[in-house]
Amino acid sequence: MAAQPKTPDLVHAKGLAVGYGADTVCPPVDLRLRAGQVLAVIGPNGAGKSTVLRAVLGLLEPLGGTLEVLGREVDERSVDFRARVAGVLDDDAWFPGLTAREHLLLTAAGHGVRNTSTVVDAILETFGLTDHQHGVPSAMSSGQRRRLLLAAAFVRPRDLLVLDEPEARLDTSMRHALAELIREEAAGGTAVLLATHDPVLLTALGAEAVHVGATRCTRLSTAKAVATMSRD
Amino acid sequence: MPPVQIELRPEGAPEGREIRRVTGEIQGAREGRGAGRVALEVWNAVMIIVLSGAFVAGVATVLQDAVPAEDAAEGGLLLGPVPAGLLLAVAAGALLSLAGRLGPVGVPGGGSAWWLPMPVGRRGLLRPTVLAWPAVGAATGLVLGAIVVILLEVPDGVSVPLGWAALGAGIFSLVVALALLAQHQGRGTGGLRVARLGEGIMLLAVGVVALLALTGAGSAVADLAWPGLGLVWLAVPCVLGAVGMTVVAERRSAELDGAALRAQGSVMYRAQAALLSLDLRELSRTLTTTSLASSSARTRRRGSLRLNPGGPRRAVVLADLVLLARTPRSIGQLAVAVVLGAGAAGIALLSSGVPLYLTWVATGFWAAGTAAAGARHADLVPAVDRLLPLSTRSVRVVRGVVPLVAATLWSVVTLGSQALRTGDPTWLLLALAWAPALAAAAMRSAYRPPAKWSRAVVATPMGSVPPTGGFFQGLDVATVATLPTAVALLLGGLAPVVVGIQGAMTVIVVAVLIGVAGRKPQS
Repeated sequence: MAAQPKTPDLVHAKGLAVGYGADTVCPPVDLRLRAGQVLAVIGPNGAGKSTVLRAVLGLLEPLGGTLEVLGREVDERSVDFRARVAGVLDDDAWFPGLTAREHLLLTAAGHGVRNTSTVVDAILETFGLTDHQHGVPSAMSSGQRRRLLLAAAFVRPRDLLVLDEPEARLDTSMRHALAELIREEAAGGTAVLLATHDPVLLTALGAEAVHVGATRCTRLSTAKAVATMSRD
Repeated sequence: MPPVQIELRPEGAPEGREIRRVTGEIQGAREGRGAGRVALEVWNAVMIIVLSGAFVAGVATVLQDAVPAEDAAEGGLLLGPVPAGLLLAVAAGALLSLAGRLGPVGVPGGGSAWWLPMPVGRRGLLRPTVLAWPAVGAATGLVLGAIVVILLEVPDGVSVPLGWAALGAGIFSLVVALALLAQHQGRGTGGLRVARLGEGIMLLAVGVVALLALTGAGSAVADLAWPGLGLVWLAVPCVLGAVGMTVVAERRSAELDGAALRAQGSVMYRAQAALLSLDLRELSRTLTTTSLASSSARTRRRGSLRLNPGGPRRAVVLADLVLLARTPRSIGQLAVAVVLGAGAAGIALLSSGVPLYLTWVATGFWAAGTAAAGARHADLVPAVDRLLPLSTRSVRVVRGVVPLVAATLWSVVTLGSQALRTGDPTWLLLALAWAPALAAAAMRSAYRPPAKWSRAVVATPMGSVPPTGGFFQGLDVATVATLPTAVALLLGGLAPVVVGIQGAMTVIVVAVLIGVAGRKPQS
């Protein structure tokens, strides 16, 4: 078996404690994620998965342990950090008056993407939004709005993609398409960190997972993670 | 919608101001910006200023006419520059508190989700917001400074209002600039600290005003001469300080982190909606529970209560009492409402007639409303009440117990002090009628429709807000139910028959409200 090339971790957390105020919401978490890898964070509702992702995105200060993203301490104020790290949380906010297409054009332009129209057309097609591109998000269904949020993460350059329950509110065919997209992301060298409750998505990705339990966090293989999800 | 062209510099990522400009242009194209739109906005602004000015001048005239000059001179009523300075301090404290709790710099709505993740300089994105705050503060101080003088009997000439307007502008811009700088201290904690400082100033100034009004010490300072244009020399260093602090805050705005900007933007959006819908309790709740620094509330452990068996009614009352006891802000508001209600008769322009009645209604409704938080929560999150073996009507009646206690406290203190002041104990009897009326009004207010955050926003001159209902729900009942007292105050005396009529009015209003409680509104 050939030795794997040594690539630096894009996400490296050791004993990471996260929470609100002075109180942690879950046991300390260890994370290691390299370019081209997919890592899932699993656990029951309220386990602290989203809180961990928020810390990785720099939206929450760690309460303890170490957390490095892109080889440095997380600093969301850094332009370089924002240029390389894309995240999709459960945000549901829009500019009134801007269409779905214009939201994506703005995002692409803000990230310095060339040929924005062509890129945005392709992404709209991928996420099944072509027919709705000239409508405002507030007039779209919740599933379509979720697709638009995901599209915004894929329309811009990224080295690390952080997705919080990306399968939420998506129909079955879009979930399959999403799994394929994430696989392509990893194949292209992007590191993907996602929180999920969907064993089908996890199996399709063949990803390892970190289980956030009540007393400890454990790294599991795909098969063990799927089995654990059914018990949570 | 027709597509809009997005054109940015071809090379590399754009600047923050460019992103802001492009977003504004698209929104402007959708909303029909152009000469016509600009003219309409200018017209709106002019109308708002003219109407506000006319309103303030009208109210001032009515209030001044309501107070006979000899009463003001000999009754220990509040007049002159000392109360004016205290009122300005109250307003400055309130502004500092508001600015600190709002951020003051935040990115609400679409900006938080679509601008902040972009790799663009945040200084350019935030510059208009940073600069707007001190400007708005100065404009507010300018108007309030002049109004305070007019309300507290302006001497002849314009030099005094002009001097006080300049002082107001200076102090208010300085206060806001201080909040801007404080936002850079810690993660949201700096803003919270200046907010608490503002609340301290406000409470202290309110306390001194109440003390002057209640003890009659106001007459000792009523004859002091009003300082006029000389106040400009006090305003100049304030403005210079504000400019300096604003420049520093603007230069450091790129250091503000996304989480804080998101959190403060969310607070600002909700506060704006609450303010536009005149929902002061929602405003208070927004400012105290959703700021970044209070996020520890998510995980805060509370002590368990030892509950003895006593049935669902007892449990509901106890829960509402615990909620009140665990909200020091509500208890503080209740105390302030009681002090203001009791002290109103000692303030020159509020001492009798309609002004006194309106002050009583406002402070009494406020007192009862602060104790109705349990009912409001129960309406917004009705799942818990549905678990109780009580009808909807019974739950609403029981939820009225704590507001009734608060209203009783306010009524006894306020109407008792009126009885002492006038030497007529009949005023105290009115408390029996006022307390249930105020409690019923607070309950009607608590069960008003919530803001509809999921609906399409409504464009207003102050920004987009969600549609909301029940602007004056509750206050209408408080006013109608206490009209007999208004008549008595207008006539200048309280006959026993008025007490009887007031009691009957309260019984009718409360009976009607209980009768309709729990009924579904007809669609």
